[in-house]
Amino acid sequence: MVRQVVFTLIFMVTIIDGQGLSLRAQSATSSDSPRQIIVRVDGASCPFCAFGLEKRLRQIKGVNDVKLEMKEGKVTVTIEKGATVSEQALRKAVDEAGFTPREIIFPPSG
Amino acid sequence: MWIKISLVALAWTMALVAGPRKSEAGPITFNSALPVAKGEFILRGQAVLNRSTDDSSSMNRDLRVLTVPTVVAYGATRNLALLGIVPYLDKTLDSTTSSGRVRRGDSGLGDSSFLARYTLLSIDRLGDTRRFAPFVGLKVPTGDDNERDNLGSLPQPLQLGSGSWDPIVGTSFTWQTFDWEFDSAVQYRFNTRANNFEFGDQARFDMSFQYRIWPRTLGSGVPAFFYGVLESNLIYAGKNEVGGITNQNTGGTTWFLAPGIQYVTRRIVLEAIVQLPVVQDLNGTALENDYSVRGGFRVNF
Repeated sequence: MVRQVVFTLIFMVTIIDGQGLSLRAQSATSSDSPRQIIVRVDGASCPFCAFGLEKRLRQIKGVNDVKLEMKEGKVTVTIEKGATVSEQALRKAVDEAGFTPREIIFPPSG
Repeated sequence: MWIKISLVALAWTMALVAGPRKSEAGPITFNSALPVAKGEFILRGQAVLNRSTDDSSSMNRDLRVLTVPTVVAYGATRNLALLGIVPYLDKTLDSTTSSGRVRRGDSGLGDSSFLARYTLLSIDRLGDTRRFAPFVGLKVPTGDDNERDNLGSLPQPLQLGSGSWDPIVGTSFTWQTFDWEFDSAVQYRFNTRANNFEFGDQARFDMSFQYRIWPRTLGSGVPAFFYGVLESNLIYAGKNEVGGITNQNTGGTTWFLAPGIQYVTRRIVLEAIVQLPVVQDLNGTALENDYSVRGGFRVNF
């Protein structure tokens, strides 16, 4: 019985994690003429906790991709061509993920 | 009668050791204070096997309890996390009686627990977070508590549920860095009466230290981590009451040390740990715990 439980758990984890990788790949390839915003975040210090941060930022309307450099506490937010993302929305997303937003650097306009 | 007394003390200890735990990355055997993002779900599954064979009596008891808790955590707000915990249980007791070797036990849904945890304090820096989060909860009697077999009604510890509604209070502290994490928690459960039986209250003090053993140097992006884990569980159980009379042969204190390992990615955690009893200062004639083995996973949705 223990063996059955362990195999079932491994099977579920393999499937679920595979789906996540697939979704991330699709998101990353749909960018067109990307514009990038840098968000400095404090407190994100383990991979599992970082997922919630990335997901909250990705849910902002106009955000095309999110990449976290955990070591630097730096999130690169790629926004769709012509879309606008406010500083307030970015700060709120980081806060609701349970972390502390710091400096936010927008790309030069034009 | 004395076998029932011993079983009560043992099963209570097992319930404490095997109890379902919360869902963020962090310690394996107890609660952390790490965040659950607002509106997000985390699913956790575990399989916990407890074995007790150290019986000095002629009954040569062999008790096995498999617990498979399923935990769902939900981030209601930035600071408030809600958790629901539903365990599947499989209990088996072999013992020698006057009529020979006898096997008793049961399997099915156990008692569920619901917890609310609020982050009162969080201090974030680059690669460093410290959090303090009290929690309250309630264990509800979703497991059968009046099961019978061909020998009659099962002893209370072999039942799947206690039949009682038991409040839980506690607090957790986490200090997490890129390289290591320290967690500590205290918890108290006020056990109430059901079926003319009341388990003694229980208190526990837990600590966990996790150290990143791979990769040795932190790379770019969000790399996966392997943690080496060492945990300590100090557990106290009060004496039970049967029919309003305190049973002097129940309850006691147990201290476990638990080495383990964790593999942590952004979406999943895989973990395994062995809890070894270092000190078992139990009252009366209780069957002592041999070990507890725990393996599981957590998934971000």
